[in-house]
Amino acid sequence: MKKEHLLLLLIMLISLWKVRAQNNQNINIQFENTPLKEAVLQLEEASSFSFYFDEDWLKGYFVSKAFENESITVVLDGIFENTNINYLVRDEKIILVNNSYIYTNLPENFFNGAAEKKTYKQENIAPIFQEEYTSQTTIQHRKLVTIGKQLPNSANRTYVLSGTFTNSSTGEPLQNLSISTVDRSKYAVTDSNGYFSLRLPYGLNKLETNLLGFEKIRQDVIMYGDGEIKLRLRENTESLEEVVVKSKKDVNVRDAVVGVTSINIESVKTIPLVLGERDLLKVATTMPGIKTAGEGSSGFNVRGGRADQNLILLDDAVLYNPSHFLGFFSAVNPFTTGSMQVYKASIPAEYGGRLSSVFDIETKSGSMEKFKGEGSVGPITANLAIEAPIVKEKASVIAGFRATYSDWILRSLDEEQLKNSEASFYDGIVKYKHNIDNNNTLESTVYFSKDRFSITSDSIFDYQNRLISFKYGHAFNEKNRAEVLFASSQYKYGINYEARANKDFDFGYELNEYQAKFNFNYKFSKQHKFTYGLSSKLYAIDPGNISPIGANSDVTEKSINREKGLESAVYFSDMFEVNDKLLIDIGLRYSFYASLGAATQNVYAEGVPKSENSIIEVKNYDNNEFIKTYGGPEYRISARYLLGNNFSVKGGFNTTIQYLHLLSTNTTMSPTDIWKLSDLNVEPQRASQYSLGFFKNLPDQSIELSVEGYYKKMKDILDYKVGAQLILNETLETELLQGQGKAYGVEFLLKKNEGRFNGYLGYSYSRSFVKLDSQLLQERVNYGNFFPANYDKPHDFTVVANYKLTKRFSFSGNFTYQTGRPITYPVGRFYFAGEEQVLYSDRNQYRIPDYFRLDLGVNIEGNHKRNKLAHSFINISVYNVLGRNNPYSVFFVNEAGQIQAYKTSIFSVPVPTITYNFKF
Amino acid sequence: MKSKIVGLLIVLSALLLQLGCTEPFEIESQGYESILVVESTITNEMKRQIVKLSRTSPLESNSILFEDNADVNVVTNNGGFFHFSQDFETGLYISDRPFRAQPNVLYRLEISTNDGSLYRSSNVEMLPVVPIGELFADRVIENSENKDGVEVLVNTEDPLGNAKYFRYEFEETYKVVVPHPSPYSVEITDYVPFPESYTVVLTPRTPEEVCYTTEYSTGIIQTSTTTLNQNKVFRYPIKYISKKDPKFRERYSILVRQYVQSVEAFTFNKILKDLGDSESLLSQGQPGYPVGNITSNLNADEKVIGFFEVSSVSSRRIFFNYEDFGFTKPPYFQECEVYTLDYRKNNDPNEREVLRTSILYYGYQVISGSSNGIYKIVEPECSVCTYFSSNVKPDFWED
Repeated sequence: MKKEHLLLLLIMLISLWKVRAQNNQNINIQFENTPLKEAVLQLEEASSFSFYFDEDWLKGYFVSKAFENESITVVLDGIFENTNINYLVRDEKIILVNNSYIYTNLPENFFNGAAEKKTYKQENIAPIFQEEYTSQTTIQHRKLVTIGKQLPNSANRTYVLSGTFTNSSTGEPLQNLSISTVDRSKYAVTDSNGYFSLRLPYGLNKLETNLLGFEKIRQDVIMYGDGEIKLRLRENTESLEEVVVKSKKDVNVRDAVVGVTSINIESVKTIPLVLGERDLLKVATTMPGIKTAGEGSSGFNVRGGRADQNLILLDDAVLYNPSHFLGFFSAVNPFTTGSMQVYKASIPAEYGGRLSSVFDIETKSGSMEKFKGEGSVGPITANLAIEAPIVKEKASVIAGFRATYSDWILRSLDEEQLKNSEASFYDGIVKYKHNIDNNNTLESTVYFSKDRFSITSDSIFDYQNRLISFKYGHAFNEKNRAEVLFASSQYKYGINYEARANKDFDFGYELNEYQAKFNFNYKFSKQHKFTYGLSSKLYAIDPGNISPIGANSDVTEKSINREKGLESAVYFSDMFEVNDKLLIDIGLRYSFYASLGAATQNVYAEGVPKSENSIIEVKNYDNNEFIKTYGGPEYRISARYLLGNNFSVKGGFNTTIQYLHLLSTNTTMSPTDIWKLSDLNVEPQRASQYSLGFFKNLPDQSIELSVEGYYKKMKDILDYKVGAQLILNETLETELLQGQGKAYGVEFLLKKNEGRFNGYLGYSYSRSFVKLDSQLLQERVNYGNFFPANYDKPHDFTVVANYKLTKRFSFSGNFTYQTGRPITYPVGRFYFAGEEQVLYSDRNQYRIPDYFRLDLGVNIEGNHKRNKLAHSFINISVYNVLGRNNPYSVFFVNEAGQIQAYKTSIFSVPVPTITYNFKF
Repeated sequence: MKSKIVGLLIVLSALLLQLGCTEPFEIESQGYESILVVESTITNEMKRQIVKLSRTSPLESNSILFEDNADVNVVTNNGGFFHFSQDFETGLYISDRPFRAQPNVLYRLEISTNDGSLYRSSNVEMLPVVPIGELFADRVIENSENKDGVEVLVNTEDPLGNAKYFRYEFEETYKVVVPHPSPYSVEITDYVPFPESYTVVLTPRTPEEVCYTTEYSTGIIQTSTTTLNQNKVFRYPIKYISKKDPKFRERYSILVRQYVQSVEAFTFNKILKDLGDSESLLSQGQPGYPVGNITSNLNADEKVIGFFEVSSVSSRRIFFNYEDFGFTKPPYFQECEVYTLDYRKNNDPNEREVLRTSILYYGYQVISGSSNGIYKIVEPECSVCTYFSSNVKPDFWED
């Protein structure tokens, strides 16, 4: 009773036998995680029917369901839900078919065209638990659906299909899912409620969906009128084995946003690891346009911007230090992270306050269905994340905790020097989500991270981030939606120096930020979608206080006055669909900043270098008095024009203003850096960027191609005088220089998202320059000409590739090549004031050697036995396989009149790691 | 298996700790730039003023490259013209006639090098004279820096508030009294190598017992007045002398010269000073090219290091010694062991040979001799002060 019956099936269709359903026979049957084939056979046993099918169709499906006194059709509907199986009941026979819908009679309008079609609402509930790691065909074909009633003299040529998509396992709405006609001429994207609406022509439309990490479906729809459809999608677990660092397919071509990088956590799983840590932010740096100064530096340089110009948001709260242990690990737990969007050019109008980019990291919502967990054990850290429903289908919580056990290891070492060292960190995150009803949602996240380490035996250094965010979403109606957000962030660090001498001290720095934001969405019309809102942030910074430790300490207590600032903005943007081809996103943000008292501010004489000696007046301000205000419009304009179904051109113009600056005497970002607010003497930084990109998809090969170019100008970016003393400096502004910056570049990206061999290849040619010019020779660098910024690395080439050998084994590799970053190099010696001095080249005239690195990894999946407690995989990685000694910094010290050069390198040998991951 | 994993973990963690591994390396010259270095401070003292010209040398080289055969002049806005000629002994350029800087006059240094390049400084005016205030020595103890001794400190005040930047140079002069003065000069005659024999001829002389050494400061010592309302240099440390410093053993004098600087000169010097001091492991300060006030006439972008300064100078001298601070007498500059050698012992030990080589090749001085062939000898540094110092008593010296 197998394949031979397929022929029969065809005959049945042709001869249009009339069906008399056998509904009189009631069935009692129960399945508990039963393979579908088994279930069918049991059903055959329990009833009088014979089944005809190809057993290949039933593979990989399981049924957990009980039926009591139900008709055969109810039972069949039940067990084949969520599958592609359709059935036909004919006398004592039940014929199963895959994918196709069997018409038991001609459409009623086949002959007379006047009959009614019933509105079909497909509503799949998911009782079938499909085995997690089975390979599914990539595209699932669904049953034909007809929408609306066919009216005899319908005048409309098009109808609106609206509906929602939800995750079949958690019931959560699927956002950013794209649904389009197969020819991509009609297109929609779901909103945060999984809702979409799409205007389709009368008659048969072939639709397909696309959302990263979820199955793709092909859905044929016959449009007879306006109607609604509800669809549930299964998570496409196959993507676990793929590198899918990608913009959502087609979104890259279709969106108006230019210069956006989207990274899905799934993609990070198979990229070779450093010391066992899966790192979302590290992966981001493999994408064109996002760079770091070197391994172990915590800042990012996005499109030629300084490291302080990135707004890193974790569930809408600002994460000031996104790294652990001086940048070797990222502070974001990979298991709880859902996705990350990096806006490099078109920054949505709702975000502001940083010049170069927004890293929008979103934590996953916990499963509303069942308790789940994920964990890993690596050489340095252990990580565990759990998801638990609180109120079934309504509320859930996800929590992740990660910690090092390196301290324990250090103590067990024989090496004396290492025994007294300390290096540890941990971070934890909890996110609660509550779908109160269809129109109200509540989300809240609490995050904390802490680092503690000692560089020298008598000092202990620690820093911590603390974030709290609270978001309430409300839908007034189909067209209007609102979000209220409250968030607060804290970043602080301390240095504890105890050498049992008179210099012992305790130093502390603390930054607090409080934000309130109201965001509204209004679908004005099909053509215009408005986003508008206002936000306000209060900053309070305690830039440093030092206190003596112990009675013998000669250190005098000192504390720098608190800085306060209020940064507010109103914004409005319109997503304007001019026609099918042209989409414009016009955004305007007006930001306003006030530096607040209580404070004292120095006024400096013009025409002489700012110093303590050129102060001509000291002004005092009362609490909350405006010291100085800055502000201005920020334009966020981008447009897309379709040049074909899979080809588009996009352009953008963006301006940004930044009122908070990171001060660092180092060429790279370090945790002791100081965030400083704009005030009487420190102007805000401003930037404008023009960008243009071409985006092309080759859907048949699952290949995405893009070329983007940009030109960016920056004003009042901060730099420092040589030897600037930033910590505990009451006249900090005297050490600062503000200059111009310019950056330009071209970024190429080729991605292959699917298939056994997948990955991406990125290359960028980009330059970044700084100009520090002044009437005063001493405040001029390199003759007041543009010179390369510290992070100017023109060539940047990355390949990330995965090859899936079998279901259980996959290999991955990662190769990076970058031009060495610029440094100022000694070029000679001379004698002055009776001493030997070093002559340095022009600033950043030379470069450290080029950087390249190859990493390799292999992923071994646990076996695919069904009834295992947990699914597991092991990742073995070797970082820097070639053992290339990539210098991270080079510096020179005048030691007793002699110049000694030092270089610091990180990971100069291959670093092997093995990590065990599990999921339950 | 388990122990293997632990082993692996340890290896990996050790690697982690060596992440920030810093190692010294040999600097390779990346492209040597030969740049003119100018160092000159014209003062308000009537003297032959000095201009130092040199060139940067490659990193590998340790020699000072003097800039020879340049034409060096200082011109003023009121028609003054001072020519400088090179002194071939020191390589310095010295004004042909003595002159002093005048207030309210603009001075400019003009250099024409042998290769035809022309350089000039900006116009520089002398800042008002601020006489050096108090100069004094104070006891200092700082355990953390292993400091126990005396610090020479300066207080200066400009009541008019014009002068804010001060640079200091010092000359320290100290008296040296050798512990073992030798009343004889010694000569060895009638030497027969085998079997070894010779005559020690002792000629009486006035022992070189007392000398005076003068040393000049090196490096940049400068400060600025710190607060808005008080233009004061208060207790600025010029020089630290340990209580065990032999310079301190007899009598010590220090002359501190105070130069009133412009802010530009101060900044230039500060940058030079900071560039040599950058010390950091995981991070790095920003080095760069110190911009002075001398530019090339022909190519505005040509680098020239240096600063032409016109500065008013004032000085003050103080004397002190260890007793003023209740210290015990510091040791002499070196260990002075007196050897007693017997000419008659020519075998095991062969003191005869030791006596001869010590005198002849190491310059040992004879403190006493006797007819029976027993000599007391000591190293020359312990006996003859002119060996490393000068027996000319400076004019300023007050005992």
